[in-house]
Amino acid sequence: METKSDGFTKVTIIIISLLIAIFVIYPIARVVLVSLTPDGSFSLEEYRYIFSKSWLRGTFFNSIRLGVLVATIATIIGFIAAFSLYKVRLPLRGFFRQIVMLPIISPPFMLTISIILLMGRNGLITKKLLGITTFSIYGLDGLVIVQTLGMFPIAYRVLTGVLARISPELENAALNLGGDKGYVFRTVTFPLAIPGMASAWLLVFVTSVADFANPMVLAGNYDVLSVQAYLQFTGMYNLSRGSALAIMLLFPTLLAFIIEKYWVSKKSYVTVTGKPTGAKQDMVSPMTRKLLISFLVLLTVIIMLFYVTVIMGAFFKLWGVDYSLTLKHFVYAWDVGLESIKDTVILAGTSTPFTGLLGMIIAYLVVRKKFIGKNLLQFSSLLSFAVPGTVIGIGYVLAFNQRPFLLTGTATIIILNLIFRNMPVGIEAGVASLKQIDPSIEEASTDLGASSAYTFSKITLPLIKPAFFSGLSYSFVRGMTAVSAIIFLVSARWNHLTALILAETEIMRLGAASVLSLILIIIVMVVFYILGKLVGDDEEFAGMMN
Amino acid sequence: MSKTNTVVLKDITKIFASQREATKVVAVDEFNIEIKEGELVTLLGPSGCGKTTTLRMIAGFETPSSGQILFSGKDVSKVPPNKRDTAMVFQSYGLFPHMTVRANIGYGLRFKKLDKEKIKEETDKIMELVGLSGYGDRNPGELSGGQQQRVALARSLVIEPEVLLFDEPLSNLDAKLRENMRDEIRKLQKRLSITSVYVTHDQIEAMSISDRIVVMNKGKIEQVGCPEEIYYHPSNKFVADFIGKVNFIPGKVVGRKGESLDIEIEGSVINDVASTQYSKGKDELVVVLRPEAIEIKPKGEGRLAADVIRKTYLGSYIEYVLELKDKNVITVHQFNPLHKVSFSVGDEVNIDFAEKDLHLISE
Repeated sequence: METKSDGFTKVTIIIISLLIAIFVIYPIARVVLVSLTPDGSFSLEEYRYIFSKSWLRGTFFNSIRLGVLVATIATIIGFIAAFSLYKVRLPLRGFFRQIVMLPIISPPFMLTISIILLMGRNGLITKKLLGITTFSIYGLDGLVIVQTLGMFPIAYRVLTGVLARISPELENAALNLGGDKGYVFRTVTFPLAIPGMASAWLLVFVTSVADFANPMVLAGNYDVLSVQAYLQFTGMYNLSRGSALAIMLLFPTLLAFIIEKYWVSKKSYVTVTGKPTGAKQDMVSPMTRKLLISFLVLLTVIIMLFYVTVIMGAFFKLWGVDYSLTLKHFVYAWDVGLESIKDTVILAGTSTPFTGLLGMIIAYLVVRKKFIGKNLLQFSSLLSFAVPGTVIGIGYVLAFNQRPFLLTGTATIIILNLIFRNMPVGIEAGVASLKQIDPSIEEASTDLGASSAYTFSKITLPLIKPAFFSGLSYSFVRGMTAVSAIIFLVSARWNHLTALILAETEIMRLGAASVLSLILIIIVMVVFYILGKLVGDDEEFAGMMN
Repeated sequence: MSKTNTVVLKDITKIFASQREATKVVAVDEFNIEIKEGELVTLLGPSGCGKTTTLRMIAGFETPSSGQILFSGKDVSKVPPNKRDTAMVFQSYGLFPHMTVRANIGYGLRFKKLDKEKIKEETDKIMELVGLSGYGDRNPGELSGGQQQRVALARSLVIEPEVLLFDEPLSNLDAKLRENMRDEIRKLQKRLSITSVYVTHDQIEAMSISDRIVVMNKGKIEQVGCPEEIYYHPSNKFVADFIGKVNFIPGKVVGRKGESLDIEIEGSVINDVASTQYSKGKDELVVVLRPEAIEIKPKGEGRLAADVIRKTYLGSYIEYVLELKDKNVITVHQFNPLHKVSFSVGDEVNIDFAEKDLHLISE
């Protein structure tokens, strides 16, 4: 049910639209504009230059190749994990479900620190155990490993939702008609999950292509767009070339996002009728179950290895040379990092409630109200999801370095960036939960004389509280772990922990980088725990924390 | 085929262990029945009575905790669902949304080692039988609820299973359609003579479709019988109350003459009541009297005196609620009310009934 909007709603819609125009659309428009006006007048010169130089042209195809590889492998791993944990009877399901979600709450390049510690020039596995010094983890291989491990949970989450929605009754029906388990999987379960896999693939692709921090450290000679755009923009101070590269980065991610949103997600099969009933059948043979368990154990071991390595990295004196225990990294991290830690918590903490509230209001407008330009509002509010941080970061610098919006160097610009970048998390959470609430509950409130503002705050908001808090905690995590846009916006006055970790990693102070990463994870977990307690036994949290 | 196609459930018990509270729930308790070839037996009972669990055990989705399931004399208790020659029509239909109607219906035939031509032929035949000709290339999502139901039915019928299972197949349809489908299912089942087990909580559905009804409560069988037996001669209060509207009037045996008894209710003695199953019971008993078996008469003309305390007009009949002298409240249905004397709330009336409409059960 959608209702007409009253005066209050209209004002709200106008304010929200203005905010989105200024803080989402305008910065992107600035990037486009700057890329098209290298000398102050309109020309395609910058793009012509990029495509004429093979090393610049190559960055585009490198990004795409990386995205395709990671998306494919991550989707396969995500599917196997989701299938094992939601369609098969296994021991320790709860444990495995938490382990596979672990990479989602870590800073984006923590796995990179790990892999350098494990397989870098002074790596534990390469140098210490195998005695190899010629091997280089820097480049495509290392990136694929790290991104796959960090991003398969995205695919896992999508596919979990899809597999859980496939009614067991369908599989029962197929079994009942005489199909054996393998056949039922091939003809029913798997085909039904295909649209979900396409979704998962596209989302991982977007994330991989947009990733900045991992390639920044680990790419070696394998140049990708996000890194090159950053280097051109901040290193060379070539604003138009940086912008043009950013637009080339925007193109594939936006395309993938639009395909996902407006095509793939419409292809998904909804359960035809009736309520799903019946206990789940175990849909695999004993042999397959053993294979799946081995797979999960292997995955767990690898994830754990990466995390344990970072913990070890925080305590060992000089990795690769001197493996004696020390606390000196902690002392150092405290010295250089305390300010950044405070800044980061303030920045993420301040932006979170705004993100949550804004997300909920937009969700409410989109689901429950009818107004002109609704689709446009919905699209542009989700836009910042699809737009790589690099593009947004560059856009914010270009848009807010002059009056009337002189904000560069301030905390405000970082907070605003976090709010509008993470807003889609809140919107998605809100939309999902609003659709569960019978509109007649709200209609009853209005019918009894309440205004729409009153209804929203006293009826709707309390009902969507779990989604609200889960949206809050995710936007806090994203605020704590954001890097690709933030890197353009940090300053001497306001630094972000991720920018500091990145800097420490680049100068190979891996011990300090490990310590700072651990601190970041601990802060995130504490906040998760507190917000989880506030909502009670919400499933979202149960999946992440116990 | 010379299979006998009987289904026997022998001492079937199903215990669910609840993980959280370490308690055990007995869903089905010592269930016994023999179903004859071509017979349609309905499991009827309130939700949670174990009827669906019993059906799922016949299909093989659940394994009995103890007891045996025999198909044509062969123990199938350990046979997995895909190796059992059963086909189930699910409450939610369980249609494969990514396959066409034809592919859905042909799914089970793929395991019968038939060639493509034969599968097409069989599918066409059954689609015509259930009235789906011309819908073969659609997806289930493009069909109405009733049509989806037909696809589900066709998909089960086409493999000519030894046993056909129905899990509340009509509960997602609206009232009118439900009646049509009910009659159609019964017609097809009789024509193809497939041994069937049908689960429902709707007593009208059960009575109209079944050869025999098994009334279940709390995992146990309360009574097995043909619809008339169940309706006219319920073996206890639960069955009587579950099937249709009923009046219970406490009574007492005041005389026994072989198979018939003299009963006293409300201070009046009624002679020569056939005792049916009740010849050797205690003196205190309950008289079961259906609302439509009672006639309301002007004061002084019938057997027992009563006051009208409520009256509801329901179209084809008027429902009166009366209070008898001993404060027993009974319901009376007066059919075709247009041509009968109507009474008003507050009227003093008499009620009348035939001896043979009284059914005796124990307290």
